[in-house]
Amino acid sequence: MELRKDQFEIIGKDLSSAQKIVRPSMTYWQDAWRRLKKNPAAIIAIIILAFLSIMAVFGPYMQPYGFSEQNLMLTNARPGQEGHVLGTDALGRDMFVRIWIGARISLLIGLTGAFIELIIGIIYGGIAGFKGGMVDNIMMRIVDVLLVIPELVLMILLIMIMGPGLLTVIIAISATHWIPMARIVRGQILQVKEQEFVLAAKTLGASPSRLIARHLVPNVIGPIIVRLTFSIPGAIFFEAFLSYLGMGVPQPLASWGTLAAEGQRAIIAHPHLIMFPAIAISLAMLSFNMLGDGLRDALDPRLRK
Amino acid sequence: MKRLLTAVVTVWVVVTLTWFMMQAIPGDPFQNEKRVIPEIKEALRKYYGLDKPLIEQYGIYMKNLVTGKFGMSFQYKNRTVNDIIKNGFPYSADLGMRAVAFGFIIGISLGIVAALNHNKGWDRFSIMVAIIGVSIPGFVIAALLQWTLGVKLKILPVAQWKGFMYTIMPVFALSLGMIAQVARFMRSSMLDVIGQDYIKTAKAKGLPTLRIVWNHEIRNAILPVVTILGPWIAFVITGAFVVETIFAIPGLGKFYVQSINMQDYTLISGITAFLGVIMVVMNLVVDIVYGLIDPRIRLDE
Repeated sequence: MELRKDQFEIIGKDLSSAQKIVRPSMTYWQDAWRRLKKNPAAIIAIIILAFLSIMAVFGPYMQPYGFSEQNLMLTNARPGQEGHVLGTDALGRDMFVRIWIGARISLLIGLTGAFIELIIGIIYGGIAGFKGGMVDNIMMRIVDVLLVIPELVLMILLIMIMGPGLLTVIIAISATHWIPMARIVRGQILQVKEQEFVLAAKTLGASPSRLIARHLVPNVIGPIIVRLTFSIPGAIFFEAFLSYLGMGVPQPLASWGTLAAEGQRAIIAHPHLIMFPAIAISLAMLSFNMLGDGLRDALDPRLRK
Repeated sequence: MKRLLTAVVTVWVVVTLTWFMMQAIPGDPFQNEKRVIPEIKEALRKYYGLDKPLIEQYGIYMKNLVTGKFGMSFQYKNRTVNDIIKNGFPYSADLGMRAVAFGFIIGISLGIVAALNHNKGWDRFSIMVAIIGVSIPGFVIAALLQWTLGVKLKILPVAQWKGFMYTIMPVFALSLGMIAQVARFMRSSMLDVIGQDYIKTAKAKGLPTLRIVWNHEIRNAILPVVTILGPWIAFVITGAFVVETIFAIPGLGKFYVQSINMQDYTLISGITAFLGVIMVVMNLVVDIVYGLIDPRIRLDE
């Protein structure tokens, strides 16, 4: 394409407008929230998760049945039959109540598991990153060896030693999945340690609390939060997986995983038994993943505009 | 060479760990037997060597393992663990290999097509597939498929493993997660490669598009994807357990689940050790393959 001189017009230089601050100044968090709000998938995810959480708390009270209350006269009822909104299972227990009890357990496992992974990750990764050098080297070697052991083997063996139970499941899952979090924490700390802006801020006279709050935390915590948001659906998935293997939470407690596993056996005759837990699991995992993706984009300091 | 050594050490760790943990499990392996007189129980314990000190038991275990004897199953009175593994493994291996092959090929193809049609139809489709594959657990998909295609529409058989038609649903369900990840990786890898200068050079040289795509773009983009193959094979193996249970495929997974429910220790530890070894070996193979196909690594070594 030909460019001719007369296509351009000199508009001169205006020194005052060159120094105008173009964007409103926001803190890191305000900017991140603003970016997150613009992401439709993330917003939908938040709404879904809010719905699931509210129902997890209030759902079981919305029907007059207890979650382990059996009614052997009305087994495998279809949804809508005889006052059971979502039907009943093979022992006549109301599915609506059980689904939301399941929500409590599954979400609890997800959140607690992720939280434990966070703690262990911060401690292990923090020490490795902060000390650096030999300590870091050894710690990472150990992790490498641990990683080669198939996680399934470890999970199953842990559960068999500790016996069935809610706590066992949580521990087994977090004990096999803390390593990525530790890696991220370590990476972040190593990165920030070398940064010059920390030195610069100190030189300008920033107080330690300002240093930590305004500089260290925003740069370290982003990937950690993102990883946390992905740990949760992972935990939910493994809980369901273990339930299918017969190693989930014991009866009469119900988690989405155990409900799905039970429903699986009768899928041909009574599909509603597996359909609802399966939808619940998928919705939850999908939402957490979308939220995680959105958070990853929103919290990336390099994308600040 | 170092990799081989690490693999061997890991196998040893896995096996020993399995054995230790089996010992730590509370409960008597014979508690499922109905009313066994104490004397007979003692005799059984002697037979299985359970009354010897732990170190000796470990020594015997390792010696047996090395010679390939996994011991007798507690549950199936007349079959050795070897037999069970030998019978079940081919099915699982068949399912697993098909799933990995299918997953890899489809995943790569989807990734390539998506990258070549950046932000257009195929790209959006592959992103959707990626999201679904990662979010919806394999067994949910399996159950869904089983119900819609098997029961409602009756086009595919619901269970078992007796012919090609039987393989379609299980393989698909098992590979979906892999397809999603591989496609995602391949897509971003391809996009990276396409933006590289040497591609510009190739286009400037006037090479036909097909040649560019095949000889340059795909070859370079595939490398990072191979690195995730290893962990994914392990994942497919574990996923196979659930798929086998759902589709009633007589593979190792089904026996494994059963043995856990029945507390059949020798079978559990046998299969665990076996699977552990397989996973480590597969990781090693993938590592070596990657070393072979990446010319940069070859030059370094």
